[in-house]
Amino acid sequence: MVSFILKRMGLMFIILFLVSVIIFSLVNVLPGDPALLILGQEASPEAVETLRQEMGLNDPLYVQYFRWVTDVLHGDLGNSYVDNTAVTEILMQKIPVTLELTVISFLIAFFISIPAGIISASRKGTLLDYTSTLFALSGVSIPPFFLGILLIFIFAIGLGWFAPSGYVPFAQDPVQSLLLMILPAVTVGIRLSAELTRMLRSSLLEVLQSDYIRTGYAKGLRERGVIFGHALRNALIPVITVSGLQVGTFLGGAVITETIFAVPGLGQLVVNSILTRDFPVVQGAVMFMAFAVVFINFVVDLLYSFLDPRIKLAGGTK
Amino acid sequence: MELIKVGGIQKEKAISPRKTMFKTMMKRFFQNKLAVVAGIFIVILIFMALFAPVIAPHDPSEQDYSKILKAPSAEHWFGTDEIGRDIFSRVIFGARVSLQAGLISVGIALSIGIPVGLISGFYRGAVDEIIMRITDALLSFPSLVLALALAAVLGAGLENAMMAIGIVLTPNFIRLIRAEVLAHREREYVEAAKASGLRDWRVILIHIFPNTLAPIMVQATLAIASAIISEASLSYLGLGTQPPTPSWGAMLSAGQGYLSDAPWIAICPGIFIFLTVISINLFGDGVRDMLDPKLK
Repeated sequence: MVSFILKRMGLMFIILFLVSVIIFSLVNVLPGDPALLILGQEASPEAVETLRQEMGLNDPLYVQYFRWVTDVLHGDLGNSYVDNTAVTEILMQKIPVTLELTVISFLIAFFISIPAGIISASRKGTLLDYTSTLFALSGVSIPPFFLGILLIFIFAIGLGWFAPSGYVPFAQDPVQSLLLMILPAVTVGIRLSAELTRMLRSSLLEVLQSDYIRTGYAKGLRERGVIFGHALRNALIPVITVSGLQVGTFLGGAVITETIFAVPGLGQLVVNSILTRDFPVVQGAVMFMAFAVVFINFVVDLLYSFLDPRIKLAGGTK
Repeated sequence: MELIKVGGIQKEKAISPRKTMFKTMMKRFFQNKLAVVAGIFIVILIFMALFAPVIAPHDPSEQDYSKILKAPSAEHWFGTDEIGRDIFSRVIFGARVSLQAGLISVGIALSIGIPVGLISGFYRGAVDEIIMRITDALLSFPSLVLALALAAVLGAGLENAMMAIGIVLTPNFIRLIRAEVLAHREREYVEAAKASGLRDWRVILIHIFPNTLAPIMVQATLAIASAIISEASLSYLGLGTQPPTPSWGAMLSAGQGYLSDAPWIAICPGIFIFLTVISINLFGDGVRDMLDPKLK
């Protein structure tokens, strides 16, 4: 077990190193001179050159990379070119917003997908199953920006139940914050729930064919007892794994959703910083997202082996 | 073999196994009614894209300031936008952009993914290890974020958006093809081909590659759907197709500001993106069941 964890950690560090190289390379080939961006188009060429020297932009790329990585490891992600605020400070403001969206979206996803998956699997081939399967397929196929716009059109403009956009921090006004978060969270949550419903349905169908389920029925247990007492617990294991692995898809969806609903989170930050060529912010935000995905995948890998002891750990000594 | 009656005597009629397999596959596909309906919709869409100038009742870029924000009518089936352009014509021309984006992006991903995946799976060792770690790193980025960053690096525009989406889709193909090659490389027919003295590239191309085609085709079909969503997303954010070329994503973005006065501007292209993507997904499911029911 220990060797498995060490091996996975080693792998995680290699991936993180490669991720950092990719981000650094990407951002450094983005068109636009950072010195010119800070000083403005009116700045004299001498002033721009001096600033380039000061910022070390004339150094070879590998020198710039190692300087950047060293700073990152010391918790310094640099300052925004737009308003000189520290990137870590900006991230600290944005992360809670996206975290709130994440928690509510996942709650909505579980709330929809668990009953839908159970009904679909236990009533296989019925109208309920087809409806649930069609819902799952539609949820995967509807682009988040279209779903978001539809929700605004129906629930904000048509029925007037929610505001079409905006954000209030949870600590400031929890009720208002939740009300403003519902439409964006449903937008991302629907897609998640579609994926999870598909996963739970197929996983539950497989479990329901197991011998121990037949034994359950033979003992005289009712369907409800068999599903909730025995089948669901095992069927949920792959679902938990998949929801962990969905973090990347979720963050991609958050980029669009936060833009539609003007939610000032990480997603909106990435879009705005790319559009304004604010390199340090792009680097910091994308790096954080990729780190989150790698780390969560690592935790899910470990959790999976704990939850299902049948999983043989590669390189492990179980 | 099939038994037929000729002049009262039963005779065996020889049917080639390939023909029987094709018939079985077609039968399997046509049993999936949803996939057939989806296929018909895709054919209509391709027809729309190919003959857009003939089908579209108006010029998609023609502005008519006397007909700003007009609701759907007999003259303008899907209404008009904020500068009096016909939405129906723009949706028809938008199909060109979306299908082009879907097909070319996946084409780019396949042209990189197939050779890299084949080499990685066949040779294993250090090359495989390096390729897999780079693939892992690329898959760690939320795909839209990576596409967005690449599109920003390459510059806004449809060609660059397609390139960015193609690069983002590539790691998935590398992984799939590598896994398929790994499943085949130890089989007896591959051993036999190697033992007969064939060069590696012939073993890979003639013997292994054809056996990996079924899952590649299924994945490629489904990837077209996700490429269409990605192109529309980039266009929605302003980094994809640039005006005045009509693109469904950009139309949705422009229409969002007029949701209370003229919802048709955003909703009509949105419905088309949804129908296109769900049709491709259903069609892809049908192709999967047709090629290999075990994959279901």
